[in-house]
Amino acid sequence: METSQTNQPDLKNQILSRIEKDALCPDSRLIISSKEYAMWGLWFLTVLLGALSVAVTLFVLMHRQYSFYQVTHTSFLTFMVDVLPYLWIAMFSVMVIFAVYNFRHTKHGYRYPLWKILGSSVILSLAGGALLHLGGVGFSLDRTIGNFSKEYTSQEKLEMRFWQNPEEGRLVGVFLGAEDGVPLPLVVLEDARGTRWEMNVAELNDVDIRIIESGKRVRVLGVLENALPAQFYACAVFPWIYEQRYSMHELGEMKRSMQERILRHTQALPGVVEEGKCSHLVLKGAF
Amino acid sequence: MDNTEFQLSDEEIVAMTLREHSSFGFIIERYEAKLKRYIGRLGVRNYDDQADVLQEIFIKAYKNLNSFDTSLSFSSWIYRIAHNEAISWYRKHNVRPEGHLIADGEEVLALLKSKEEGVEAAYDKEVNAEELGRAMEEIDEKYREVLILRYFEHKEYEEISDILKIPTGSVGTLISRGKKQLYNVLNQNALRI
Repeated sequence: METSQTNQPDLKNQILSRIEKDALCPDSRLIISSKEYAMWGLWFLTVLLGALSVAVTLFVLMHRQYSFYQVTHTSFLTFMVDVLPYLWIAMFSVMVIFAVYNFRHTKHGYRYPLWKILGSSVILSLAGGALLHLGGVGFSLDRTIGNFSKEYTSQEKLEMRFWQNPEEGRLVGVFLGAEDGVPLPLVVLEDARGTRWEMNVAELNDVDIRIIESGKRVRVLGVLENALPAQFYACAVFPWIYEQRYSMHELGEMKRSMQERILRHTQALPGVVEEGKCSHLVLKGAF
Repeated sequence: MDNTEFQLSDEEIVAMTLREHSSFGFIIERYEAKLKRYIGRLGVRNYDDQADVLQEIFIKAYKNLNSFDTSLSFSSWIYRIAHNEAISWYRKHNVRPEGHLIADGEEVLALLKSKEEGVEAAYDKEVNAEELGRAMEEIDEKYREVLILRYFEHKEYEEISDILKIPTGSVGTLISRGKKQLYNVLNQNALRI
């Protein structure tokens, strides 16, 4: 085995000659450092993308109007199947895998056990996602991608699909006010498809009226009275949260306010509306 | 070569080499025998092949000198290169790694009697280097690699972690499982005899 002693000068000379002959030089420190920085950069990018996915997922999960699922779906399960942001959940999972891969390929990444790298990547993405969500990034990102891409179903598009459905008693639109010659309590609403509805607002309360008077796009829950001419009986009005840029705090407040209203309806309305046109909503559990 | 070379640390020689390439000869002299023995144990057995692989190891080490991380020992760093070169050599040649364990009595004894990592049932039968060498060839590659580094190259866990690029905790686990598998193979081979 110890033949190396006799070969030692040969190998050394061979290598040194080859270094000289081929003009070999140690690779630049800059190139080596840039590879390391690139790996950390990729790791950061994957964690950031994971955090963005979490931000959108949190936005969807926390600001979906769960209180209305009885109105738009047959059960909570079918509602969740429809609204879960699969794309973002899948993206988060893929980004976590890439983050682990990138971290493992940094200079000292191999020293840490897989569960620590995985755990830290997930926690960082979740924490970053929570912060971005609080800053309204999830909401904005979902909406912006939805505006730019026809293929992407943003929460706004999804909500529009659920609510622009007059046959089922739901409309999205803007109140245009009372038209000349139309007696109160009938007002006019132009829905998302451009149809003008003659809307009976007799059963709306003060909060509903204030929302209508804001002039912004709203969601209306009620009863289809006639398709042609378009006539609708309004039972409740809710803001359309995608109409303008709301802070996450405002969105939270809006959601709480709507939940309180629904609770008040549930407690106060049965005796009043049992015989009215909105009674079916009470029976259905929407209020 | 004068005596000052022997007093210099590997890291100092690396720094010298970056200024003057001929200093790399000190590194070659220091590591040639060790790495030759190591790649032989990993499966590069033929003399010419060993010379080729050694040359590639040192050339690669030279070209990557700037990536040497001083938080590692130089020994671990160059062993890592040697390990990777040996693996790529036998993958390129499409051969199964067959170790050529040059184990003296003390190494065999250390491997089999060691009770570290919870392997309680130290092998108590008589075994010689040849039998052990055969058994080592039969165990999984991942176990053979750590056992070679631990018991034949006498590397510490952290060094093995740096050479194989695995967490230190995994080194202990692999050694423990490797020894169990080795005992099983030795027992099976003994039964066959």
